[in-house]
Amino acid sequence: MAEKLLVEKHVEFIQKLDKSQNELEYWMTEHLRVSGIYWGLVALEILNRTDALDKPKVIEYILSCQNPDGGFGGHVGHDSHLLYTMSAVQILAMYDSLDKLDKESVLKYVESLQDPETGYMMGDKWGEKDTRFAFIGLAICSMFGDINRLKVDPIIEYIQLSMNYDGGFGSGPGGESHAAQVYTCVAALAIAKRLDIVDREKLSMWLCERQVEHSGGLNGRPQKLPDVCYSWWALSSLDVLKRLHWIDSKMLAKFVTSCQDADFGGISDRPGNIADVYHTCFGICGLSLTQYSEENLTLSPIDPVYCMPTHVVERMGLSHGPNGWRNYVPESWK
Amino acid sequence: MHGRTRKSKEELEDSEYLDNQKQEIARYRSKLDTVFQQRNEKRFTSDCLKSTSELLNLNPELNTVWNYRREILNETFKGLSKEEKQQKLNDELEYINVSIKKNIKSYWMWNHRQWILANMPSPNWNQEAKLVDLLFKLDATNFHGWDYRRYVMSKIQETEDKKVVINREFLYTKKKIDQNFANHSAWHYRSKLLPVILENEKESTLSKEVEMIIQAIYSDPDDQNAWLYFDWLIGFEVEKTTMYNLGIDIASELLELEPNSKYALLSLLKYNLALNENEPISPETKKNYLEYINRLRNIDSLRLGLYNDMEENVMNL
Repeated sequence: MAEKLLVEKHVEFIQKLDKSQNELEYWMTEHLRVSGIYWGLVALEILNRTDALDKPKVIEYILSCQNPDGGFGGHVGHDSHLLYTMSAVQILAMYDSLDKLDKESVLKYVESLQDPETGYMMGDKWGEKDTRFAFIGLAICSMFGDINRLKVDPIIEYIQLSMNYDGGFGSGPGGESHAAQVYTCVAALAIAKRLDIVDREKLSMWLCERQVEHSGGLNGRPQKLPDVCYSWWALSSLDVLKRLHWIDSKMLAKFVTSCQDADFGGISDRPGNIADVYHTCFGICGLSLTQYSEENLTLSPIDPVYCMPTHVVERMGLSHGPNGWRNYVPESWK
Repeated sequence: MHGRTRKSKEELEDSEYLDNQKQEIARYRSKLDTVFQQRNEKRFTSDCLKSTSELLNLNPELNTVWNYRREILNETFKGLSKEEKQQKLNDELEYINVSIKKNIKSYWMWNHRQWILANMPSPNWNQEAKLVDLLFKLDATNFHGWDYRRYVMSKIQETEDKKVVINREFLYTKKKIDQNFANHSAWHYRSKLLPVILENEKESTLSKEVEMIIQAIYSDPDDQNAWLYFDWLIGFEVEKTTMYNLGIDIASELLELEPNSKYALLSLLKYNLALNENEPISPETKKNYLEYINRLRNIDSLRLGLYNDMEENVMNL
């Protein structure tokens, strides 16, 4: 018999993250606290327990992580990076508080990270390039309703160059296919209304093969061990491709629930490992995509492109409607 | 947090463990505070650099501290001769060489390495290629390592003949594949090199490549990517029918040895469909296809949705 989702334990686990100063891990992860809060808040949203965090306190903290360059660091006093800027914007979007932000300052920061020569996106001023940043750049600008702040064509070209023989996408041109990079590329293409670039058949076949026998968990590349986080990266992409039914949801649920920490709450990458908020979030998100439910439990639906609850993405007009990505999914996929 | 075993309640409440945590936290926080304070005071001395080394040894994920390190180095470069700058960056590379082996998956560390080389007056790219090769002994499919290797080669190509470099890399991937047929990173890299090589010597290279991937398929018929690579090669052939037939032959032979070979069944179906794409389908053939799909359902229960879709497609033929 499959285990149940330990909702109360996970809520407690997330609430306790801010009060674990006696654990080394609390300090070792300080530099990505903004993302940590994002993962926690998404998980709580999906569990319909948004109120479990102190909203005004979180907003105040997030705003204190914005730097003079307009970007956000992972914690107060840390340097700006697109990764944390994305998390900060997502948190404020979920709290319907984007108006607390000087929109122009953030857009200017994102704009400054488009390489003037190539038009490719960088993670910070030091110049690292990656398909993750292509996605984040487009996602942030679209959340502010201003996608054309970036030159979209070179970003699409970058993603196209990162596409491989197996239909997947890598971290950049030449990079090997990896399920997490696939998510960032598929999501970026969805936002840019360019899903036509995707080789739907090949990619769906490659993605559904990420679910491995026996455990039911998904891996990120062939012959790698399954890991809870791919419940999100691979499934979100399959959802956009309208091929979510190509994996076995029941087996996946069995794997995710077997990775729960029954004592302290939280979900880990694999059974028996230390739980963390990142895997807790993506395990729960994966379950939401597959419409996991129990007798007295329904999960809130999640948007497979923005990785925020569907009601948030709908409210922002990013899902349906004239600017919604769903409007531009190729007709033949529907 | 990947791959770390959970502790029990008892272990976590053990007083020795708790004391230990306290000490480690104090040690870490004092180093962290020192570094951030030095940075806030805009100090860029060699002592500051040393503090960042100690801190990054404890936590290589501190991107801000890597940034600070580069700021310190940029500051110390001022007024240095080329030789002196090279020496400073050699020391920095030495530092990274030690840490990267312990943190082979750290994005920040690979970025930093790239920055060091980009700033060196005379970077030794061949040495970099050797280092990456050594790292593959620890983790043969580490994608940071493979990405870095491609970056290194793009630099080598700036001074060496592009064709020579690509041919050498093509041989390198062969070596890696001979060590392990299932090295997907090596196959992937090949897929990036092959089109360049085919521009010049199409026929012999392509047929050799087909032979090699067939060997890979036979060595592990359950390797999806080997089949995908075979499929991708078909795109280069003028005479696709020959390749479809070849695919059918391989799949049939494998199925005789191993009737439950999933990819063999999938390929049998796929290439039969491709071969007869424009032909009217006989009830007999349709029945065969449906039988393949049923067999797939029995072998691979995780992907029933896929096989249902396939069945529907065949029914609609």
